[in-house]
Amino acid sequence: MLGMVFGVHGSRSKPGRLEVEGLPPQILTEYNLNPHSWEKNSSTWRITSDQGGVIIGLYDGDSGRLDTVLRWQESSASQGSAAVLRPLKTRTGKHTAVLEKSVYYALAKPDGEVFKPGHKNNLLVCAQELGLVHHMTRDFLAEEPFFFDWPKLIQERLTDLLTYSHWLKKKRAQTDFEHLYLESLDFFYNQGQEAIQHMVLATVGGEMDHRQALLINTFLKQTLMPADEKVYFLDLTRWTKGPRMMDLALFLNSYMPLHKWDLALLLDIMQQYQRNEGLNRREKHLLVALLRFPSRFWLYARQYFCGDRPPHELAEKLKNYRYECCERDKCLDLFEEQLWKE
Amino acid sequence: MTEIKKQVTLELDALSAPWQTVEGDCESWIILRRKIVVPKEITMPKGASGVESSWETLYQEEEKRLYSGSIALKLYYQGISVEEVAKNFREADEEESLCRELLILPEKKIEFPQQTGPEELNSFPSLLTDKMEFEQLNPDQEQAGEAVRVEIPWQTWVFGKGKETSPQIVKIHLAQIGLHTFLLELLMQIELETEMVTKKMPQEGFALTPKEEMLLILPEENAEQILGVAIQRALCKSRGEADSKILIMESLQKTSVIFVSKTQGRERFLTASVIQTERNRIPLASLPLVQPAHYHFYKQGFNYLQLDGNKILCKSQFLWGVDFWLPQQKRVRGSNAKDMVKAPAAAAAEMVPVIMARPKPGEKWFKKSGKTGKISAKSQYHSSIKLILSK
Repeated sequence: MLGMVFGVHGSRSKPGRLEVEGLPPQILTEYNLNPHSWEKNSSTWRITSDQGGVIIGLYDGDSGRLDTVLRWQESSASQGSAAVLRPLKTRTGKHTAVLEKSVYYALAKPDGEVFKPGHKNNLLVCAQELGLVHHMTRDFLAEEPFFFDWPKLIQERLTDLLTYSHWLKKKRAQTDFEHLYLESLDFFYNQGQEAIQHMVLATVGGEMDHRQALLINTFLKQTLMPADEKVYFLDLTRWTKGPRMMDLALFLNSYMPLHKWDLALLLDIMQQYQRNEGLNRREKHLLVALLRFPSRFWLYARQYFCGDRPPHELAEKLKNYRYECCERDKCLDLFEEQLWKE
Repeated sequence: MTEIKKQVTLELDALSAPWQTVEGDCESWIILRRKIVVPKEITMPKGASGVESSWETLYQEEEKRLYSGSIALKLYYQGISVEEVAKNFREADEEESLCRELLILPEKKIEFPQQTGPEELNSFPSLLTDKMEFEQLNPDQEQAGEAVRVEIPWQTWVFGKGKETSPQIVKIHLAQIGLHTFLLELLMQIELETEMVTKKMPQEGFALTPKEEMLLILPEENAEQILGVAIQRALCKSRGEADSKILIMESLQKTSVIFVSKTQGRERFLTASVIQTERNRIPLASLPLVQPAHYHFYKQGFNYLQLDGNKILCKSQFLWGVDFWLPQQKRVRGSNAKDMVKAPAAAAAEMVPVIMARPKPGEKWFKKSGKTGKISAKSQYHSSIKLILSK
């Protein structure tokens, strides 16, 4: 796995304690951990210790926000309801340990498996747990003001696509990516327009009738862990408050491509998600808008013009994205028919 | 004749679609461009063949013609249906997460590069077909794979005096510019047979320009092959130098180069041009009092050679001429037309000089002596006045 560093044997700073690369030993002391083995992935360490499996994370952000979500995780985990990890406390009873302005946190990791998105059951269980998290956090930070500017964002990103195309036509397209971009623009721009229409319908009436929830905002494979017949969400540090469809759309866009936008699977996932609470009309429009919007077309174009990725790699990705979106288009047409019948 | 060496940098002409033309004296070049979308995904373009072509002259005057025609081609390619394409569907969690993060960030100002870097290659194929190959392909013989028929109408003016000829297809460019899109470029030339070259050079009212050697420098675009150089003149005017009996002709000259670009993945038939002012002196036996009615330009000698890089050595010599009166049948009769319809020689004889005749030195003294027998200067003066008054 990229970014993972493993360690079993190493120098021991203290008699009996294994050194963990990049993790100050004071943090291990704070959480009273004695690691036997560890693996590092980006800014988290997965440690096997006397206390069982532990995930230690280095947080970059507002520590107050981290504290908020850890307190919620603690209360949920203690009830055994949501599939979230129980935070560990430091020697002083706090959820976070601060060392030289760096904020660390620790979570009890279950003995689970690697999340395999190719296994449909993993996706179905994950969708069910996600629905439950959203249901449980309906009134999460109810007093906190909410601001939703996605309609404007989507319109601005569509305008970006036109700006790129005008420049390409002016300088005359030459590379594979540029030709594919211009050839595909009409198709993707129309998808974007359709997304805007749904987005407008989702916000019609002034007041947003979208159930606000704690949004997880990340469904990377390494942040999901099947265990105990659940799929646990390992990383809630990127949380925000917002319409729950934002999370559901991100989850679907992440893993439905692997299954060629199989309509039957999509309907099953929706069913699992709605076990606790169904979607209302505006939420359905918002979901369709977020699924239709060709976000990766915009991403590849941005990466190309910023020089973030090699051009030939982006050309290949764009080609595959076109094929995927043809399947997605067909699936969503049929999905919408089902959606409005409910 | 002295040779004039000149170096001129041309500017790339703006691309035009679906047609782009370059007009020269007695010739026109037409580039026809089309983007053709085909139903199947292109795996390999195979070429083009002519199916039929037709043309006619829609309008004609002595020195301009409007040509119009149509060309039908068949494009051959190997294709595959979307269902048969091997696709690589995979999870998109990392990209969707990245997208979610970037979408909500403030817009990043992008500095669009002016030129495509050398590392950014185009892998779509580009085929160039010469006229000979185009004609040799048998359109009736069906080729394996897919085919699509394309009909392209065209129309262009040809300026100059010469014998009408058939349009010629010089080159065809077929490039893939997408999974389902072809770019087709067709280059045609119409060149009149000019009569002046074969005739003996007229004596009065014409002059040969000095042999000119001009180095044309194309802009940065790399030229793989030069296909033609066209020269067109416009906004001719002249001025006379009465004392020296010389007519100075001035004209704007537009020199255009038609070439094939080395850069693949986009339009390859390009043109570059430059406009200059040129001047020539035409000696006359006598300078008429009227402005010329018509100007002539004929190629006497013209050839070009592509040097290394983007340089073209052009050697030329032209014949310039004037007509002060138009041919009889072209005149339009106005209110005073009767007085104006005269042969040039007759008109000159009846003209009287504005400046009065001067007596010869010592003439008045010669009369007194009775030796010369000529009329006095005084009486000559009076006879001049009489002539003017009767006019």
